[in-house]
Amino acid sequence: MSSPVEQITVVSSDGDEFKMTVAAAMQSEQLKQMLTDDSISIVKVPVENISTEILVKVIEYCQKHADHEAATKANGGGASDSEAEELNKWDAEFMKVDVEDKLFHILMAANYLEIKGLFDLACQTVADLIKGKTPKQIRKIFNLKNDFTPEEQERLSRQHNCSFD
Amino acid sequence: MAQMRSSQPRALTRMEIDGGSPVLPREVITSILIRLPVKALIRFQCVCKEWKNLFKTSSFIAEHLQHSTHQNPSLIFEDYGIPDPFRVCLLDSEMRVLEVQSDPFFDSKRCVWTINSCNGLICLGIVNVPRSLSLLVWNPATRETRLVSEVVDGCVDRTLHVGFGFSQTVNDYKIVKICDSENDFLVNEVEVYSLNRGTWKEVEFGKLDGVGMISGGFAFNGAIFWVGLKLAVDEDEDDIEIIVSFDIAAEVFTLIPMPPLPSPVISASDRKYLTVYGNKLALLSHTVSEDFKSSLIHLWVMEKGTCASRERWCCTKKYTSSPYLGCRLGYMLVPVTIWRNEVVCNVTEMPSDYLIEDEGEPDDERRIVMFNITTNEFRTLDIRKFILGYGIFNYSESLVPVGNMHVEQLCF
Repeated sequence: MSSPVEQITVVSSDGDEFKMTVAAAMQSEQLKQMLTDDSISIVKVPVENISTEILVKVIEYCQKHADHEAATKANGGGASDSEAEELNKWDAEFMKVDVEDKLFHILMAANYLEIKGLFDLACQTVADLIKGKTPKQIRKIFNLKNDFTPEEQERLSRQHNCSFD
Repeated sequence: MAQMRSSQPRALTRMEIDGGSPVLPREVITSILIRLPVKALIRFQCVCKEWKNLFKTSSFIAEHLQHSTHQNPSLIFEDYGIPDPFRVCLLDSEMRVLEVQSDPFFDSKRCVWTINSCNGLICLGIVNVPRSLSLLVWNPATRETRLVSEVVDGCVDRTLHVGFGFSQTVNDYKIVKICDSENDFLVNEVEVYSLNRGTWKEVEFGKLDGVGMISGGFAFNGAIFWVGLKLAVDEDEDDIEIIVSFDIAAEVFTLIPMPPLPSPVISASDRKYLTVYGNKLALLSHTVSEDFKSSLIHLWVMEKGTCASRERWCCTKKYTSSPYLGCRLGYMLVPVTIWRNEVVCNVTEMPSDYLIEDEGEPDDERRIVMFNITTNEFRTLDIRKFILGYGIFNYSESLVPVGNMHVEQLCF
């Protein structure tokens, strides 16, 4: 590469283009690989299965965390407890999405782009969301079929004192 | 993170959308499920066969345990009972106290005590009437129990030191029963029970010649450790405190020298506790000032093989607390374990010989004091409301099964 790249452009599945700082892009292992590989010259990175709506969120996360890392480094290493807590609060607010599906899309985007922090955060958020639900609700959310036979269902219900509904 | 091979560009499959929600790949679902509390996972066994089978796989159980230990390390407080039934309370990482539902087995008024907690399993000793000893392996989260054969021989009347731990190498949990005779307090019998085999077997203990055990067993990294005393051979020599280590896989004992601790001010009650710090074996000791007004806590970390000569243990003093003045005269702090970067201490009465004067009506000193290792600050935890007498153990909930002997599965 001739000159250092300051920004990269990512293109959503809807065809919209967004600029990302390199620091933000490095939050994604996928993008990091591409940036550090000299044989690839990046102009635009298409992320085919991430819509504009989700991509905007993902970029927002990456930028915030990149900024936090830079600030921490500038302060000479460790983040203070209050700074870490502030970031956690930001993360919690960030994950408050209006629609459940959006959450899964963010999770999948983090998975695809290999953004560990966002992936863990999204997994935890989903876990917290589903832990109180009934098996029936779980099946609906994850698109699963109840493949137990009626006899098996009966046995399980008795054994575990739980319902299949 | 779901299995990621990051180098080559992946086939960009469009996420299947079915009725609005994306279909998540199996690895992603697993990453979500390992974060769920055991209670939820037991309920979700009814979702589908794939999930039911997934929760039984050792890889899922191990990942779940790892996450549970990292995210929600807890403390178990046991109430010795007598005359009340045995009770266990749990203090979780969000400082909530939860009463753990005891197995009906504990409701009869037997003497129950906790031997050790390991990977979400708790090993308990139970003295029955007529006098015999039972050992119970209990997973409080899944509510499974397993009764290990009752000990009916004379060993019950001798002093018993029991340890419970796990070895990755053999993928087995074992209970180690060390008996000594009341006469000379030296070890004279060792038996080991394997949860996989389901049987007891006698074990060689030649290394323990002339050794008596002092503390209960503590498990870490495939071994169980006790504080012991090597009795002096000659009359004019001193007894030496040592650490006894039992390799769970190889079933072999080793002796480890103690750190160079100062002579205690109070020799009668000088209990040391083994624990884990920074993923290494550590020892907690305490001293009391000569005027009995302040307590100090010491933390030693045991490092293996870092000394010049071959495999040897050395200890580095990692931490000394600031003096704790908060106890009334007659009480001292005894550090028992480390939890989330804090040293957890029992407030304990000093042996009566050391009480200077009668201070009138003693106030209720049932509290736990915690020292933060980083900030050196302490805080008090009032546990009076919850329990009367207490053993304290580190605990993380898990799905680890206890096996199928005498299993009583009561699920939610």
